[in-house]
Amino acid sequence: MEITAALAADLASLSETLDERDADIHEGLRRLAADVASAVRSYLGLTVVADNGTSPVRFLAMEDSADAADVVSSLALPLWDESAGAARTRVVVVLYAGRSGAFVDLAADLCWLTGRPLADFALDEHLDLLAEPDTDCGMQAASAVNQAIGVLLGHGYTPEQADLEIDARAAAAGHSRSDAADIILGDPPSEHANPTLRAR
Amino acid sequence: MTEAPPEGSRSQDLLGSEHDDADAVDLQGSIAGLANLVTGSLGLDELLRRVATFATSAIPGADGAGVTLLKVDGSDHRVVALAASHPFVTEIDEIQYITVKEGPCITAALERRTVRSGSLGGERMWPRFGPRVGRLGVHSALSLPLLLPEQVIGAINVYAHRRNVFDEHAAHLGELFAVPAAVAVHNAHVLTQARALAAQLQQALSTRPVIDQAIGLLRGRTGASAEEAFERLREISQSEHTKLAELAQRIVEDAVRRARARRSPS
Repeated sequence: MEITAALAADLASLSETLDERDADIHEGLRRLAADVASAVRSYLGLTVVADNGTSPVRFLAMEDSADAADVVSSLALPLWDESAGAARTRVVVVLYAGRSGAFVDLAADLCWLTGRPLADFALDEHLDLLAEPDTDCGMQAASAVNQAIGVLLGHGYTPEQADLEIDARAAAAGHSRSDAADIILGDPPSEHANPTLRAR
Repeated sequence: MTEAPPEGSRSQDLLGSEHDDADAVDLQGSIAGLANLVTGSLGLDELLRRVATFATSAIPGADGAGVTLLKVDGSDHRVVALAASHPFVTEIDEIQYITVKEGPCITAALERRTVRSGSLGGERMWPRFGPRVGRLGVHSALSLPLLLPEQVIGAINVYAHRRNVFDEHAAHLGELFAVPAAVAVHNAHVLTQARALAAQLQQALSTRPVIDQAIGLLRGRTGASAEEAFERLREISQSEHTKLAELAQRIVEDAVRRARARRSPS
């Protein structure tokens, strides 16, 4: 399985937050890819999409020397529990293969296994994901924004004010929120005192 | 399974029209059970237990069965999951996998072949396993590797109390049963892996924002790098025996409380 160094670093960073000894999301991803490859001989790779409603994360892990241009079929596995509520992060794993119809039997078995209707396991509907650029999975940007919010909280901003402050700085400089967050994180601590507090 | 005909046609291909005896009826019923047992969101352990129960029905003379998922790597193996149809099989599994680390399942998986014994007490293949199991009053064993095209994923172990119960016919029926069983078990394992990955991502992504905010707070106060701030959080979490996310939540809530207090008119 091939992943970029940046994605490996992001997955390591996520694993560190789990408070579980030996928790390793990268290893879990590698094991899943190996198991799918055992089940589907023409398997080529997968995309993981995790959407918590605010900062979706998406990443691609192709098999060694597999080419996205060879992908002709896909299977989407919805992996969230409806009963867990809308606040839960929704995770979908999209599997790719180089043979048409490669996932038909796996989809049928997963339908039985989960008790979900077959229509939940979309076949060949996510090939366009491979056409989209995959340079950044979105975790670094979300992380920078949240760290900048933390910096501003420490200087007397409420969460709402901190959010607005990042928006305002991004708009004023014509930057993205993550660029504005990076600038806040790079500034000396004294730069960020809440102006509404200074005025008092 | 995968890139193979659907369950129903699989079992028909395996049985053929001439197998119209009671054993074949039992086998067909068990394979049909495999196709249906998964309805209703079964966990892997429960699925394995039911496969073991179906194996007991499918193979003539069987008194109990177990299913073991193994991670086989060269001459080494590691038990990933196992389940048994009856308590005496659980006892045998413990002897095989924990006490003596030898036995029919391990041989079947490592050598990718069906193995059987009609007199376990004197079995030369497993000099430590056989006598122990014989003393439990279990004398016959049939182990069937669970095979995928390019790997072995485990084995089904079938046992009987009487001697010389499993003949070639029983082994043949067992091998027919093991083909769709391997598919069902492996696909359940794929689903388990996918769910485990999703659960880890869900947890990590739901706690990462507040951990990042706490990192930001520490960076703003101390000028530390993100890595240094995270390490500091982790040290505090370990020394206080508090989960990282709970510690981060507490730090952020303290800061928010102070910010709101300073904003509120007094």
